[in-house]
Amino acid sequence: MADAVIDINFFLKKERKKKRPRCSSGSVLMSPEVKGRLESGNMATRLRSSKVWEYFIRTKEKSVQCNICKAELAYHGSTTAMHEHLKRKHVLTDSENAEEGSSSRCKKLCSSSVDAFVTRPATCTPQQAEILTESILKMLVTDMRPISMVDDQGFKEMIKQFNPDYHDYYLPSRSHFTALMEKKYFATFEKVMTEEKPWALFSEVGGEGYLKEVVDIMNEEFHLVSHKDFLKNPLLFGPKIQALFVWNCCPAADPLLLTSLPSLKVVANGGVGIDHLDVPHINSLGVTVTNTPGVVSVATADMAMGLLLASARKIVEGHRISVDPKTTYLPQSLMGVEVSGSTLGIIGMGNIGYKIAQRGKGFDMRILYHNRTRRCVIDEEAVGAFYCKNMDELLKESDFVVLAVNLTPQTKHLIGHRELSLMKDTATLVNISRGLVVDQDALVMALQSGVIQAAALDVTHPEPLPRDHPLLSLPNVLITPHAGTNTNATIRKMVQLMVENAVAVIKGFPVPNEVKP
Amino acid sequence: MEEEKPWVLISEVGGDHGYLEELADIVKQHFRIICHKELLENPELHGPKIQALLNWKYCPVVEPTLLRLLPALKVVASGGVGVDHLDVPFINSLGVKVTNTPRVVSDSTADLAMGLLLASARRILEGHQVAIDPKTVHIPQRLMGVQVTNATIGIIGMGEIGYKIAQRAKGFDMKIVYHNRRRRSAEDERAVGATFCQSLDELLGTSDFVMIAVKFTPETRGLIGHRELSIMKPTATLINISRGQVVDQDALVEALQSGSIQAAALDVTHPEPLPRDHPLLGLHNVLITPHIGINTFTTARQMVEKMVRNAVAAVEGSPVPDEVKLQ
Repeated sequence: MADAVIDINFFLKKERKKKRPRCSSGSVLMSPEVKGRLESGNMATRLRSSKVWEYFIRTKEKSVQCNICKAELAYHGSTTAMHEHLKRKHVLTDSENAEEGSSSRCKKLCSSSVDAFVTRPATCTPQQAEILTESILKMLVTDMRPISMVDDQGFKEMIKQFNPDYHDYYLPSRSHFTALMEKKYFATFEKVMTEEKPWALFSEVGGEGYLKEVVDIMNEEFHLVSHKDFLKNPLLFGPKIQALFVWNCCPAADPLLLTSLPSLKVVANGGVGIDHLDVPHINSLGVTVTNTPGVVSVATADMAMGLLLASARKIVEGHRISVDPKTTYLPQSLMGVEVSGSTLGIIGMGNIGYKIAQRGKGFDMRILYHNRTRRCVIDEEAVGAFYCKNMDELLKESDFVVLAVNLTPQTKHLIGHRELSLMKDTATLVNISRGLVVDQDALVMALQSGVIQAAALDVTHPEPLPRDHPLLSLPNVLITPHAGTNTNATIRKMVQLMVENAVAVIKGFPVPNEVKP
Repeated sequence: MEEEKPWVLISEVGGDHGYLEELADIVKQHFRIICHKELLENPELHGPKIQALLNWKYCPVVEPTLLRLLPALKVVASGGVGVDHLDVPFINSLGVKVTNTPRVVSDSTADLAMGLLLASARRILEGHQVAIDPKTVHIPQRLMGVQVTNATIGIIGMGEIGYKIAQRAKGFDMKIVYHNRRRRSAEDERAVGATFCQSLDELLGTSDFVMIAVKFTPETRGLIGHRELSIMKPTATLINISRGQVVDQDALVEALQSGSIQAAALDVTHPEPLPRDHPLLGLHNVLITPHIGINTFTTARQMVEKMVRNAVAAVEGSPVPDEVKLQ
């Protein structure tokens, strides 16, 4: 059987300066050869393996040559013969070459016929010990080797966690240990390997919730409870739930729900906008809020450009005419507005806004932007964007005004009567941020009276609009149902990141996307 | 002076097939206008006066019967860059020049090409229909599109329009491959990050979006047929902004119905418009626009200005800027 040797010194890299551990076995599990060395006698006179090699060189794959007397010895992976040779032919003194002796307990160990033993140096940190224990247990499953443990208190405590039957003595008999392994350890090992998945509350599969394909991503890390199931038995599920997944604003993270989740550690949102979450309130309960920035940017920027072009070039109207049963000739009056060389005004130049600028540049558009903070010169030059400190300036000059801000109290109704009247009457408003960023009534009036030419909206307030809303019947309005991130690739990435954030909070790792108030 | 201005034949001003008023004004600066209907009412009176014919959106149709009425004709100035609707050798044999309007059409056509690509990929048409449908109560979760960013676009025909499409696609971080009669210079390729595909099949097999931007010639007729469509990925979208005849339309219908390709977006069909019972009109994964590649005020104006400039030059006998010479 191949020897599995894990060098604990790997874990002790920081400790190198200190004296090497007293026991010669720096290994967690020793090979039979090393064990043989221990068995053969007084440890103090045994050479360290590395020392042995100083006296030999490898001549062929299966032989070595003694540097002192040039004798050839067979080498099959074990230094035992080499030791013997040196001991018999060239007696080496203790002081020079002695290994750091191990205590008598090692010797005792060797007398019991175990296949291997484990030692844990005193300088091991708790994390290292944990890793060590896990490795041992892994080995138990694969190798089925009986082991004995020689150790001090801390390590024993850890073993006790996994195996409550572990008795407080150094050398459990082999049979005892074997029995323990067979009955308890494997059961324990199962627990260690799979590790109890934490519980999470989410909205639903299908319907307004998640696509079936992405639920698997969540299932890998969490036991999932749907909101409907949760409501059937909140007292049973409530205390277990450590994570709340919010997708499309569902389930609503209101105080009522939060009070029924006493163990909640994280509210993980799918998507970057968190205007639907009361972050300060949630934080006050000791719960972290996370979102998924970055992964949504390209799909949303693509959608913004798609809406801009579809609106400008009347693609939807064109299709309608093309397939209309009454159409008998190509209409000459279906004229749109030129996109190439026009002026694109981006309000909100974050991740998404910047990607929109990159796309606009490909159309030779003149790019203006307005943002709370100015971007650095390199960023600006890369897309040829000009900063408009005053938003009015941007509104007056743009042929296409794109809103890419996040919704905050400051950006609510950012675009109202006044702003719309500043815009060119040939201009188009494109909104991919949030419906509330625009004063919708003002927008309706502006479109009806020709104050601006057209609007293309991926977001409205509410979503969807009431069926009798004037926006639905205006000919110069294009509306899509909040589809900015609707590609399989992006949805997957959003769910993955959402889950990653939740796992990080629960396990105490650094959280990728914590939302700070 | 009004009397000295030469006469030009156009289809009509206003109406279904005609020029917008603003465009007609551009023509009136240099010519006196006779509309097609007027000519037909009194060909003997008007015919011999006409020295130039402006052809806009295929109208008036330049047939031998019409040309026979115009003994003094010097030039047929076509609007747009394609001249596949004109029998150039025949027209030339009558001593009449043919001109087109290259370059001015490129930007707006490329814009529309990208617009069709995005509208198809992100299901904007469907989204709008759902958003305004009286029966809609929920935001649909299953209206999923395909990701455009980082996808592969295969451009067939890398002339001026094809190259401008590549420039726009680069902004979306798309992987760009192209097929052309001649390879572009290394500098051109590098500027847009385009890779040349010697074989059309290679392009078809690897592209998520296949963009047809070739000129319509006898060589490109039916360029995309059953075989080409079967080589394309089943998740691919075909976009045509060249001419309807470049694609074997029956093969396209079959491919879309059987899932051989995922979707198509067409600004051009054959004929235009399609018969009202044509299967393409009923397929849910097809987006069709009524040949609006150059339909912006800016571009239309530039085109008419060019047409007029060409016509004036031909009438005056000066060098004609955009004469179509046969290879």
